[in-house]
Amino acid sequence: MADSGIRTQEEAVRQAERFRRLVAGLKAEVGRVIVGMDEVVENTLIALLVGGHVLLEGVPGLGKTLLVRTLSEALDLKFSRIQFTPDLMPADITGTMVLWEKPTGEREFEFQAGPVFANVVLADEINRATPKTQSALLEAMQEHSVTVSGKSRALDEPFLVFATQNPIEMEGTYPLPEAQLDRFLFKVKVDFPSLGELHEIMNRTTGQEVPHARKAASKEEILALTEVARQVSVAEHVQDFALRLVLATHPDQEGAPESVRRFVRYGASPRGGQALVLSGKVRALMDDRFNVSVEDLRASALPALRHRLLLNFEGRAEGADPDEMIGEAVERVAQGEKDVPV
Amino acid sequence: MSAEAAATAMLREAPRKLRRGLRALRLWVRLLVWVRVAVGSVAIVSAGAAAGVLLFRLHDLWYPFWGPEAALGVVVLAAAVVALVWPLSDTVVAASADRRMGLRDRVGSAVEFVREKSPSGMEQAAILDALHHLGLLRPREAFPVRAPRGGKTAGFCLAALLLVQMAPIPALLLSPEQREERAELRQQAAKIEPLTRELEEAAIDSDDEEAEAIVRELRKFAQQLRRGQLDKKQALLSLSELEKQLEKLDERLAQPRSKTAAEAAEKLARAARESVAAKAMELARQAAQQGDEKAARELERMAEQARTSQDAGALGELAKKLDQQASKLGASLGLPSEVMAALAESLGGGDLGLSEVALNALGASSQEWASSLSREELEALAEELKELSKLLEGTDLSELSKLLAEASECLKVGNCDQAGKLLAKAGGLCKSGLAKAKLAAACRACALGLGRCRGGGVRYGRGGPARQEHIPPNAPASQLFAPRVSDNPGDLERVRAQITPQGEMMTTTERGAPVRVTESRVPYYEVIADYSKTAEEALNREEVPAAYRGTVRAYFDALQSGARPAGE
Repeated sequence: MADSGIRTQEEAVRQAERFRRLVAGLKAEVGRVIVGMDEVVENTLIALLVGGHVLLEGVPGLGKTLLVRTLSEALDLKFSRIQFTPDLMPADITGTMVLWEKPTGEREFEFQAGPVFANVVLADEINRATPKTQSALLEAMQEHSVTVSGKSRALDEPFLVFATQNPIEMEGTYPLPEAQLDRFLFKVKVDFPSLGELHEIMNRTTGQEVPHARKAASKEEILALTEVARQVSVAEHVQDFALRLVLATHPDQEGAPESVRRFVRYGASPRGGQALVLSGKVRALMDDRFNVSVEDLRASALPALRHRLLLNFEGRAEGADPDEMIGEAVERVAQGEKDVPV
Repeated sequence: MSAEAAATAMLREAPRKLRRGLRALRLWVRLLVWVRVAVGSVAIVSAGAAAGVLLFRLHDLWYPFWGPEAALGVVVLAAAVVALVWPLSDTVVAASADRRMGLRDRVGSAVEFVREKSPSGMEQAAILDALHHLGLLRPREAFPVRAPRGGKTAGFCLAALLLVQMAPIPALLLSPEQREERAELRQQAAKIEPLTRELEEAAIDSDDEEAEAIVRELRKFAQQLRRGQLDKKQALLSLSELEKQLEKLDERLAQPRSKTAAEAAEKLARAARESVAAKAMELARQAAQQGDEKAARELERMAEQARTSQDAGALGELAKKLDQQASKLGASLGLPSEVMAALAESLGGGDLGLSEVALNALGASSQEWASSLSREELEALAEELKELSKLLEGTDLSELSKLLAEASECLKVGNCDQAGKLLAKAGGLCKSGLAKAKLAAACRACALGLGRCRGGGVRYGRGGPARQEHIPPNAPASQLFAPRVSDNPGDLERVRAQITPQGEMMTTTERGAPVRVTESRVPYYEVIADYSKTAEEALNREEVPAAYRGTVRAYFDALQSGARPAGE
């Protein structure tokens, strides 16, 4: 398909080379501060380059906030952190109109922007705030704009939300509804570091100097990279894999594995397919390719789909693991791929 | 050319190069598909055929021996057709190759992008990237040759089929009657084997290729009987074939005789006796002249013995004694007389062995003739050889006659060496003639032995003792040997056929024929043609007395037509 952006293969090669260089630089800068978490860092970068939001799930103290802050430092992006508490109000996120007295004595209402007016927003423990407060942020995530007092105010691009959840203290929280979880491109699980990683963390953070990330790319460069990534083409048979995978998460579909049929009430929406394809494009470029492959989709399957499966009662009661079900769905779809009979 | 121009050129060529690369992959995949389908099909067909052949053999049913192999051939060809028509699109082949080689869908994606009318920059880059990797790809690397999954099974089934076709059915699976039959056939094999060995020795001695071929057939037949690879009917058919071959061999060995040496036997023997007797009388005269009456009487007695001698060996001994007497008298017979006498006698009596010995002895002694014999003695010897040669002219020893005549001519001109060589050659002729006679005898003995195995006499019309009493002239044919015609038409019975070495397939259909032989050991239709022919020849040669010709003709006509003979 002809594209108004990259028209020649030389330009494609040039842009792809630039892409890889910038991404490598970003990784290197993040790696100066963050120890381990390779997959988390990679998925976070991919989401950044796609322009999608990420839900980070992990116990406190694993470096989720540090990761997001480091990323914004490396990109020289405006960073804000919102600690979600049960008494947090929507206005605390979006901002509010404040009555202000001018030096002349006149009073008028002035809009005070909330923390959402940043490029990178860290919504810490998003599940602790009330649904009303959550929805204020989620509206901003979807629309990239905020409406206060009837007036819509656009948010600066890129606008990325990194929300966090603590998986072990769910009591008294307000789990995000599935419709809103669907707005996150990825749900990334942050695992506890290994012994070696812990040593490295101690060495880095308890010494005299604490490392900081340097600027590796500008906001404009990130936006350009996002545009380049969108121009990577997807072959029909690869896209077919992505869509069959999405369908395989639905219990009423023919290709769904047994665990999905048993434990899932409703599967991934088309947004899941978008997440797979877009992240596949970024992975292809990072891998020095100009085409999306099935392997790219398989690598993105878990972060892109795990939060989009709505479990039924039996699934919740049995503690069914969405990751396992997605793994089975991937294998099932892979087996169904046409192959030569030798 | 700049890099841009080069890339543009490559992009233009991209569809063609992509198609070419995929064509090679596709061809290779089709080959592998063929192997896989063929192996699977062969396994199934072999297993089915093995089961079928086993059932057929157990129930003694006919089946074409080449049938299972033909079916396997058809199946392999069908597998080739399947492989040719198997749907293999470019996308599927490319995607499979990508997966196997870890190319991350490069080639598969390029196959789609290249179809775009105006591919984007990214797509162009993807196409060129795929072409680069496709150029490095070898079909064998992407789709390596592996042993097909059913390979072992197919091998096992094929082996089972061959085993079932070639190996004898185990005794466990046979009925008691079949086991008894197999034991009987093994006994017949034991009888045939010594006959085969005799024929083989004779064939080697005579260096006869046809005889050696028959020996091989006989050996194979005996082996098949021993291993239980033939049933009784097949054995009878094979025996029939072998007997025919032996008959042909015997006919060839027994040359038509116009005049035999036996006819000249009396003359040769008489000539030898007269020659020795004459020499004895000559020596008796010399002894009488020298006043040795005793020696003279002894010599006269020996002359008389020579005249009445009937044995070539005894005549040779007499000649030797004469030689001794001659030495005592200071005379010399001068001739290898005992050898000549033995030669004449042995040729006359058809004793080729002794003839060979005599001729070789003459040939060996010819080297001394030039120095030990006078010119007159050489001429006399030449005359004796010539006489012998004339007597053998026109007989079945005519080749020998020519050699003796040539030797005689050589002696007349004093060429003793050449004469000796010719005599030695003549000895060789006797040896081959002896071997030929031995082979003919072995052939007949073998034929007789096979006939006994079959349960009858000699197969071909050599006659046999008539069972009936005196049959008057012009008697009705029924008096010769009335065939017993069964009233019961019986059910049609198939007899399993066998392809003969000549490539003919004989099938016979018996109607109401007994499964077990009773008086008749061989069905008459097997022998009627040959016996009728022999009878016809005998009638034509007027070997049958005139009064019986009509009876014989009527008899065979009745057998041929299947009607009852006239008079019944």
